[in-house]
Amino acid sequence: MKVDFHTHLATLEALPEVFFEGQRDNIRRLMPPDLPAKVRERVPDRFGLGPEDALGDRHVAEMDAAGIDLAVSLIIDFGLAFPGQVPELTDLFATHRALADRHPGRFLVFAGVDPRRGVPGLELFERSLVDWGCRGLKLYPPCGFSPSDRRLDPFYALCAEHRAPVVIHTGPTTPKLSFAHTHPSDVDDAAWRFPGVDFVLAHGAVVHTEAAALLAEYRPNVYLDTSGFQAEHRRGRWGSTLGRLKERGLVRKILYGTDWPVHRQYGTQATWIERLAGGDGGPLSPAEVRWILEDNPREILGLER
Amino acid sequence: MTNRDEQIETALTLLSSYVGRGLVDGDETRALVLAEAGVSSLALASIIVELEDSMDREFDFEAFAGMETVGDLLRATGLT
Repeated sequence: MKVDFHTHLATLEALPEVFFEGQRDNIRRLMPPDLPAKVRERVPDRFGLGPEDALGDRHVAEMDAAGIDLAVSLIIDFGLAFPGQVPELTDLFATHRALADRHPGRFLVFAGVDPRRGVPGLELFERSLVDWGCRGLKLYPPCGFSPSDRRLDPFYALCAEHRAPVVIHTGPTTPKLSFAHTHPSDVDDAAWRFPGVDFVLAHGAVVHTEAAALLAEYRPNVYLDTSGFQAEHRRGRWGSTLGRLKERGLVRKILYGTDWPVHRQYGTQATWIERLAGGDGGPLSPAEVRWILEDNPREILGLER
Repeated sequence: MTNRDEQIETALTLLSSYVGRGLVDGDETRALVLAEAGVSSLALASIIVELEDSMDREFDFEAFAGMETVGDLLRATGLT
């Protein structure tokens, strides 16, 4: 069973417009001055979510074409960071439950809760695990908290009790949010204090790679996902990045993730699954590709072989 | 000449003006910035915005991903 460990629902409720606005600002400032004015003015405006896919039908069609059996759909709680610009968190949970219900066996939903929501947030998380079938926790520290914040301890205790992995964003993101608390080392204290919880450093195979690899190498419960490797591939660096991770013996700590729908303008799911291995003569053997796509996620998620 | 024929002619003229310039930009900074916005090159970005003006509509850049042939261009614009 091939698993994409890092995806999102392709709607502006799940990934709000403000998230992309910041990235458009970045693209605009980076535009070389010799580009035709028309291109400089209009191309940055085109960076965004793209067509919405609220029911997940297009996503599933792409998964089918790529041979991906299961995707982890991550809820991000932007509510406190972008007040008034995202729906109520309970509504977002409902749309993700509807996604999983519409496509049985194709999605595992990870709940996203900002720890500053306190007891109501913790209760929502517990209900999502016990009653709604959520299988893990997604945290987005750029919203303004550390992944080792003690307010997360009761969340991690629930994760340990329910064998629920935690996916934590690392590295820069939209310039509309702070980049504080996004270094892999911010996760270390939590990973040390909760050895019974598996922590996945989202984008860890491609950003802050040295620090992420160090943590994954020495903490048994820390993993890296590949989401964002599309950019590394465009820059011609993915094969060498993967090679360095392999040299450190970390192939068993890597999970395949695409960040769908964020990188879909660069290619289809089928394209990216082909490029995971780093191309012809890439560093991974077919067996190692299988670890990343199948064995590693199966073990973390406790799935049947 | 029908409106559709004119649009195809515009598309082909635009394409021919960029022949040899490559659909993947050789300038790394330019290529990477354009890639962030979902287009593979200056040539392709220019073709798309010119076509949008001439056809008075907006295209989904995703439709142009992996474009290699005239047929791909015409399919992406819905002209065939």
